[in-house]
Amino acid sequence: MKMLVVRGLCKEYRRGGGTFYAVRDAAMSVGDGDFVCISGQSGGGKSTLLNMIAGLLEPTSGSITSGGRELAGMNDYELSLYRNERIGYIPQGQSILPNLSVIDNVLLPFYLYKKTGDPTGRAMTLLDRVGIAHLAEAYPAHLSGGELKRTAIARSLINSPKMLLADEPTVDLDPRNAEEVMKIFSDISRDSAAVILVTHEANSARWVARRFSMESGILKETT
Amino acid sequence: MGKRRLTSRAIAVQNLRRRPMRTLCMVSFVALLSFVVSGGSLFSYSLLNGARSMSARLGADALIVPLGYEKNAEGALLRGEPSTFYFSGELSERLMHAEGVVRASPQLFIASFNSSHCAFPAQLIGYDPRTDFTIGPWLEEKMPGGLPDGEVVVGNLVSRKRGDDITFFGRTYRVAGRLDKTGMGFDTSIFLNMNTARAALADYSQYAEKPVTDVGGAVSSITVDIKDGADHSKFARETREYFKGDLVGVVLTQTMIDNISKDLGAFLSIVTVLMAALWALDVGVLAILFTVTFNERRREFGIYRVLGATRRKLRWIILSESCAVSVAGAVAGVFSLCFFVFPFAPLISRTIGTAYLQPSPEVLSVILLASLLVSFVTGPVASINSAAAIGRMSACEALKEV
Amino acid sequence: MKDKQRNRAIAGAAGVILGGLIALGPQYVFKICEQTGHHGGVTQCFWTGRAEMGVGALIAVIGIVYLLTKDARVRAGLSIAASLSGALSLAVIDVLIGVCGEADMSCRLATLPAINIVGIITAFSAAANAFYLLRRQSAESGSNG
Repeated sequence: MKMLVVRGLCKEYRRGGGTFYAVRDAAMSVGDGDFVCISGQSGGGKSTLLNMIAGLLEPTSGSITSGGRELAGMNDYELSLYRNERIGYIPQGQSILPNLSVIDNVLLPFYLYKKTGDPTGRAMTLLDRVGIAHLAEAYPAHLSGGELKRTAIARSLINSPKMLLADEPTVDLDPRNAEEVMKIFSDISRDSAAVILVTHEANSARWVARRFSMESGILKETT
Repeated sequence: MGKRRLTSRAIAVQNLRRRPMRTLCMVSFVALLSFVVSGGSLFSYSLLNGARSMSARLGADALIVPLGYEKNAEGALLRGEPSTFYFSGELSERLMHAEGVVRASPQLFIASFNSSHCAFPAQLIGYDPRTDFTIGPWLEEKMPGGLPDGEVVVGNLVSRKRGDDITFFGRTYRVAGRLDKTGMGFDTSIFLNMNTARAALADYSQYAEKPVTDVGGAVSSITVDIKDGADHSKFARETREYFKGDLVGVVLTQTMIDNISKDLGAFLSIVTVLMAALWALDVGVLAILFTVTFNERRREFGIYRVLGATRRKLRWIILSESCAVSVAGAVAGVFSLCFFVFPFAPLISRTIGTAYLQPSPEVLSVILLASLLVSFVTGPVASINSAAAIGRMSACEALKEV
Repeated sequence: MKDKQRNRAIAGAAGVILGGLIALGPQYVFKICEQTGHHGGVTQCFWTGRAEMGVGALIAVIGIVYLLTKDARVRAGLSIAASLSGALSLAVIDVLIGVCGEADMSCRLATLPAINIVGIITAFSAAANAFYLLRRQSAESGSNG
């Protein structure tokens, strides 16, 4: 069973009296361990597609099936649980909560639902994996852009998701940090989670196994 | 590293700790409310309690005193302001059988000196155990066999205990007992039977500027009960008129109590309205503060939704924050009252100048607990709107914030 | 650095204010009784007022020295001294000397509760400050290796 199957996905907006398609008839399938990159110019519909896959945006038409379950039939609670447990989502920009320490930010998704066990050890392991274990007790105000992004990556993995979605993960980073972040994603996909990146940066593409391009709402696989 | 549990409460506390000035501001509002509600309630209850005590202790319908000494008599009874005044034994006999009097009993008021002859300035009150119907029954509760000659009973605030000696006008008396608190002038008074009081008056006369002419018969006041249903004001008028040549004044104790109760009733109504208004104002100000701060934090709440938090979880986090603010403020307010105001209770009581009796520890606990509860609900009530608004945020709207 | 300067300013000023209240309060604000009592002798509260002047002045001086001291360990020591002095102010008025016996004397109505409140605040806040400084010192020396 494929991790993710997208069929005939459309997202329509009304703009200036007319209709505008942010995503038009998108189709793709992603399996375990796939490392996928969706690239293209800004405004091409990449983020909209990613957000629909994450259950944050409701499609106008089409279907998204993840782990054999259709997203369209889910209510708000089920979609929230899906986002929390099945996927790890790294939004564009800075998304670390300012009032929680680095380790508390990483732990947060675990504690949003009643679960047993102590995830602290796993959180420290993840922070170590992304190279910022020494900053566990630090607060976001004292971290650099690269460190914040690594915190977001560690957070997205705390619930051992089957699929990782990252929207422009390297856009605010210098080349060295960007390279390190892409290496981390590559390692994650090797651990059998599917990774889907959205980026408009051309040099990110060399890390991935499968490439898609998206222009004017139309998705095409290029590898 | 130890186990960390990010419950809604833990997240709320962290959010509050990281914004200390904002948190302090909100806690202060609730603390102010808590202070005023608990202080106002306690103050009101103490005044009511004092009025009840006064009503129970005074007992008589009227006090007949020398003309011009009505205020002295009130001062002695309400505030324990020492005073000496008297009329002759012959006049007191006629007064005790005046028209309209059902029963009467004499009392002797002697003020001790601020000198080496006396322990301290105090009001000595002599009563006649055979006829007294106000102080006597109350003293009987403490001294079942009656008060022997040469012994005294002291008010609750006098710093002597049973068995101690106490000196007035160069004569030493044994303290036979100590009375319960009344919230009135009785708390700083010394009670003697009439024989002992006459001896004290004789001693007083030796040291006074103007010696007392009728030591054996002088009486300071006659406590009287009037016929049931009789008009008290008419009694006072007629008595003053009848004894005009003898310069006699009448203090209507029941009227005194009624006037105090009426003023008290009006005062309590004002206090209640003010407290309700303050509570509403507090809720309003806190609601505005919560709305402004939670609107500023929409992005933060958007991130929670993106990470999979349910609407319910968001509402819980917001309500946990407001509850934490409320608890801290309510406790701070009550603590401030207990720490800064309670030690000054005797000073407050003295300054007010009317009967003021703080409640028992049990009643006090109930008052403070009720004040805590009233203050506690302020935060959650103020944040309901914000919690509902943030909780309604869909994942789609949340995404726009992130 | 800003935190340290803030601590010096706040704790130092608090010491001066609280010490001033203990020293001068009984004389001018929450007054003790007259020097001569009705027995002709000197009142207890007069001696208490004198003693509290000394204790309060000591606390105020500690506050001034605190304002001028940079070393955190020394400041912790000064805080401990201020805390013990606060406790002494309580001991003077409650145990060692005391105030007049009667309930309606001004020393008992006003001076006694006021000094108790200020003394408790001094003792506890100075002790808490000492604890905070020592803890921060050990955390800083721990992180410096």
